Amino acid sequence: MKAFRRTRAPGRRGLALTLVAALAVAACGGGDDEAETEGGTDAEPTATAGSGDTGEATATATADDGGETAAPDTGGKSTTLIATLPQEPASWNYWEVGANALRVPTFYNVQETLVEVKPDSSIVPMLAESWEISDDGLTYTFKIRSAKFHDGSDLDSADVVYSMLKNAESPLSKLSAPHVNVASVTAVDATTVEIVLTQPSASFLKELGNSAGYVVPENFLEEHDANSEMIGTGPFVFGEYKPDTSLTLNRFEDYWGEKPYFEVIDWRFVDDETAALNGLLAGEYDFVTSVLAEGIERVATFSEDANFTVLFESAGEVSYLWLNVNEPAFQDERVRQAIAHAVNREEAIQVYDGYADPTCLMVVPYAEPYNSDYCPYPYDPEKSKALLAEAGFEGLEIDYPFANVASHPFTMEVLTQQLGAVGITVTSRSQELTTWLDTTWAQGDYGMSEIRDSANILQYGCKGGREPLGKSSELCIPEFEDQLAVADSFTDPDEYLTAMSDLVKTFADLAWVTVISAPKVPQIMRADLTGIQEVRINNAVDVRSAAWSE
Amino acid sequence: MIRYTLRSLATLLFAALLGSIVVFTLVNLLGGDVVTVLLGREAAPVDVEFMREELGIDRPLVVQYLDWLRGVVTGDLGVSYGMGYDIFDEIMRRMGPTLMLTIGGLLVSVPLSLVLGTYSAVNAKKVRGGIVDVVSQVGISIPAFWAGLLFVLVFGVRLGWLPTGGYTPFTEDPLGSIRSMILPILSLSLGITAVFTRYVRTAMIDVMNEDFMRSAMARGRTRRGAALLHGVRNASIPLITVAALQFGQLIAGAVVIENVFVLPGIGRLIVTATLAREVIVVQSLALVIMLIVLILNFLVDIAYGFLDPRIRDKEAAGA
Repeated sequence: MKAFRRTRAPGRRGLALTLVAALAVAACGGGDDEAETEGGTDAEPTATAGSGDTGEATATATADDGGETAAPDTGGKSTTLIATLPQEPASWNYWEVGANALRVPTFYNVQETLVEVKPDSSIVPMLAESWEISDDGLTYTFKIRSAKFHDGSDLDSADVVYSMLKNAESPLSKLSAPHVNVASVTAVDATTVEIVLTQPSASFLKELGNSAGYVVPENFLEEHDANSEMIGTGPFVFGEYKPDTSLTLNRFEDYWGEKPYFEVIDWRFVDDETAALNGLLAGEYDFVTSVLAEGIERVATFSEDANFTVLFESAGEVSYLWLNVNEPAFQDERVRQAIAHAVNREEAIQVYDGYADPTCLMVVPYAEPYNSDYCPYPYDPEKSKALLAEAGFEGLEIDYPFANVASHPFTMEVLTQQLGAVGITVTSRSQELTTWLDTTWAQGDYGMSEIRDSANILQYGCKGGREPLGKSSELCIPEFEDQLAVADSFTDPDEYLTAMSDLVKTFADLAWVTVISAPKVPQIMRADLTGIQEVRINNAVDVRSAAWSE
Repeated sequence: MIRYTLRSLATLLFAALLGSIVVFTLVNLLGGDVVTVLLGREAAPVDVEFMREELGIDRPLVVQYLDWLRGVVTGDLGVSYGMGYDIFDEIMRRMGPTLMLTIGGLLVSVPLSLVLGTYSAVNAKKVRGGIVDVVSQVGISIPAFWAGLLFVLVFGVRLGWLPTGGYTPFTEDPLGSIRSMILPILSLSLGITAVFTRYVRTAMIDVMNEDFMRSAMARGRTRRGAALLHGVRNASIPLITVAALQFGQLIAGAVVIENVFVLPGIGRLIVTATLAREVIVVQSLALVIMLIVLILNFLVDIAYGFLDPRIRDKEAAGA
């Protein structure tokens, strides 16, 4: 052995030197690559909106940004707001991307709608300065305000007509479903648009304050790359987008309304909540827009800290479990009721550290006037067991695939345990979100599952729009379908509220869906940041009136 | 020699090709596709089908794969389905933070482990050598992400010396860029420094027993002097080999570190592209990473041939 080493050693020594050199060369090569890469990035900014304005604004934004990063603490009253977002959309195409992640940073800030829905459900003018509804509830006449798009063009009735017709064709039911009853959309003159319906609809005007009322320049989808551009009339211009990093919005100086305080909104995509909250503590971010998962347990600490404000966003979504309508066992109403009775909501909201309101009704926004504390199947494990025994389904087994993101795994654990307590065996399967969307939601391979949803009750039903319980299953219960059709046709507000109230109660009675709670999402920000909305209409983090307090 | 190089090159390309097929198959087995991600829960099946057709992902998988491969051969990786960014440009853009991280990690851990390993070997029988051993053992056991979180809490949040995350391109602000990379590089190099230290230590102990070391000492060198002059050079042979081979591990570690520190590098792109089912982005990335690792190994191979006459001779004899 010794001898072998002796002959080998000199060779090795030479080898080492050259390898060091080789590695050094490789390292230098890497360094060069890097420099080239950076240069390349500078030369051609990715995904910047095409207009000249935007280019200029982006340059300013970057400069601001650099300053901010260099001196996080001293820039007390900077004109840039740096806020983190937990999710990033797969594309910026408002017309075909269903994810809330798209609307969160852009709705109201970049894109505007014909009318605006306020947190108290009232409807106020936005791009329509005023409107009239004919006595029969069929003809809507909108007076369009004078405004400019971010590309410099003027808003006129042709843009509105184009936008409404396009929205009606969108693959997303949020955009298209409300237009189902539209007979015609016409430009009466340059500032007047007339929409005629085939039947009265109580929700129509309100839906025009949702994604169904988005207004873009005429031929926007044909003439622009909607995947990476967004042109609206809002107070901020869609600026530079860096995948996995940030989206910059720049103040629109020709905005028709009151100009916002901030010159730049710097949205940062930080999906790691720990990183987002640490950055907030260190003064690198001003505002963490949503705490959904592991950060929940740190919310209490922030609430006690005078340097920060915690605002609970409520009303946006409800969490519910739902059953597969094709499953034989669930055809027996008693089995469904037994499952509903087994759910302990007070315990389930501990998943959100208690930052949720227990509720039994599918009402979104949670603040709707027809909401109530009606609960047909309160927590009652004994009754649940009795119902199962009566139906002959003791020892029932349920397949429960869950999306392994945000609060879903925790909710799965709670529900599995609660159903187990009444003798139901739940077999859970962990799925990555997209897999879940495909196999569970779209293909219907599940017994039950749980979700957090921001869809209002009118979107449930088997006759179009969005099918309720996953695309594969149709909930076609005659009495519910009838109520759905009727509720929307009332033009009298009181009649409408009564009908809606009955509708959500019927939905709860059916027990295909057991609503668990309305989670309140903590939004954490610097204590001197004001003007952030507590209620997020259309999921938007609306920063129009955000400012530093004096 | 040429034959040897060519054969290594052919093996390399074949391995990369095979790897990309594996990645392509796996991503397609995940369930759900980019249309599921884009349209979300609201879309009707007919719209889903229409969009699949539009993007060309309704075609047989083999056709899709060959289509991508044709692109690779002609130097065009294509554009992503969702955002429509040019995949090659995006990968190049993401290389910045990742290369800074991995090369920075090597630049920190290689010299550091040489010092620590040598110190530990020279003092192998003393308490201070043992302390280095214990520390390196701890270093191996600490997960990089946990170390990263601790660094962030101490240096970012509590002391406020360094940013807690985010990336500043070197060309925009060199100082800020370096500042933003210090904590990530430290976190990443912690574990590998510990591993390298153990390699150096073992190699050093071996070398210390060599005849030439004894000769050096006989010529009047102190034990430490001999170790520094002759030992370190010899002990770095296995270190360099391991360092080159560990590059793949470094990139894997970068995936975690980039997430902890919110760095827009290759690692984060792999994660987000996989979640978004951007199959061709994932595939292209996998190919690039495989090529980097394979080329590095290839260079080491070639270097061996150049350096060690016996390897070259054997090749020549075989040919």
